[in-house]
Amino acid sequence: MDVGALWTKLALVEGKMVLATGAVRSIMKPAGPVHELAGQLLKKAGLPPGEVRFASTGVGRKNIPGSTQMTDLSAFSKGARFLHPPTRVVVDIGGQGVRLIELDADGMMANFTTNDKCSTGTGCFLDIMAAALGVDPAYLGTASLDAKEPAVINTSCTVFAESEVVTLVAKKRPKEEIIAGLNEMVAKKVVAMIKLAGTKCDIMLAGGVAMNAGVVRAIERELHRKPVLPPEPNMVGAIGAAISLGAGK
Amino acid sequence: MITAGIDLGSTYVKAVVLVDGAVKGYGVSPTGHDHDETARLTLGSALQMAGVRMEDLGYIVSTGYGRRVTTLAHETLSEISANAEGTRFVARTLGVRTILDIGGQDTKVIALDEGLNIDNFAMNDKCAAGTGRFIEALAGVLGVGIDDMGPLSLKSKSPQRITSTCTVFARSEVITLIAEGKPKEDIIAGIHESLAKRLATMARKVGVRREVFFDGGPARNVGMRKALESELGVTLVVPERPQIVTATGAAVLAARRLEKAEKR
Repeated sequence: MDVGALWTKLALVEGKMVLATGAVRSIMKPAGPVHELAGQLLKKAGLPPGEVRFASTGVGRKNIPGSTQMTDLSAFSKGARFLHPPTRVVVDIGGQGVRLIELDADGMMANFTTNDKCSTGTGCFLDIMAAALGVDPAYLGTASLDAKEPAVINTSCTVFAESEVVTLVAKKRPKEEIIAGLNEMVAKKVVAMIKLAGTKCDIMLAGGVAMNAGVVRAIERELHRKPVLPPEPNMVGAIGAAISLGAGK
Repeated sequence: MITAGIDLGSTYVKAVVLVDGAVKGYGVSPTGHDHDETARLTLGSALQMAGVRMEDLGYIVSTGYGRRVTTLAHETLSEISANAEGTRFVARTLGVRTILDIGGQDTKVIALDEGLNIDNFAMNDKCAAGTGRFIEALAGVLGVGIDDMGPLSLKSKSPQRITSTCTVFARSEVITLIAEGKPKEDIIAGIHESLAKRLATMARKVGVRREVFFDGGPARNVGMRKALESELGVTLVVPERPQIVTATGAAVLAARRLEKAEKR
């Protein structure tokens, strides 16, 4: 389990197979809902309850008693290498922060940078923009793909961008174009972090925001390369935590 | 000689009408979506207060973020220059060497030399947490009116530290503090302290020399003044109407232009 700032992600793993995944909103006392979801995943996988070992990571990991705890950096490193062994850089675009982890040739963490002081580009940013646009956050993923001309957002700040979005909506700019402009904002910030790391090797995108196809497309354009995208980018931490418990469930 | 200055900020538009070297009328309006329209309305209010008509205006100078958008102005002037001009007009003999301006969406520090000319400056317009927007956003969360933030914060005995450096995260932090039952006055005092610290950090890079002049809309906030004075260790010079200093500067430049034109 990856108990993040906004979402708690669960991955049920057996050996080298990811059997089932699920997520719930993070709350102050997550243990109840988390165990409930774990039970549902076991049922889905056709496994009996009680034979499961728990590992937790994420900012709220201490709130899950009875689990082996590990740092996000450790979990993400393991998860990325498991999902795509040649990975050298993992960029986790999460609910309230963006993190970049550099791995050495053996898959061990070599360096990392965290940007958790600024909300731009995070899941929080996208939630705010969805509200400003009057749409469901899920709509943001594919809405921009047909946009002809991305709206130019003249700021890198969530709060100022929100005002610009409100003005653009009032001026009847098509929502797809506004969303495309917002995706470019996210891409600029993420790619700036990637460029600082200066790597030419495989870069994996992880985190909930990486599930947004529009953002991923914008990152590809800004980076001039295709990053590696696992099937469930928001599960990288949870999978990594599960894997680290070794063979078994 | 009648001139006007219009300061088209991102949050508020300010207009000042100068009649024979004295401020006779002014107006302040929320910017909204149409800068030009708001500029027109705001100038209208200022003209009305001054008892003067649009046709009487000899020259109009615009400044601020939206200065090029308005069709009303004969000339545009940068906000930094306009603020310095306005400060010279309002506080010429007070020995001002540093101007601290908190705007709706930016903050500026302007260093002046002995001749009150601009020596150096710094501006932040990238991050809302260092601007008036920070106070506005958090006041919203607290359910406190902007004009009440100052007086309420003076009641605080123990300011509550706000650790978030991002306005968005600070909102969550304040919501949590309210849920924990922390007194509103303490939270507000903490908000002012946060902003004061950020502004002071920027100011020290430029160099803070007395006397320090404090203007911009948030300078009307007594709590903000107190927090800034505490952080910098100086008593601030605050004009009677801090929000219109920059627009006044634009009007003063307009008067100089008109004087020059009339001499020819």
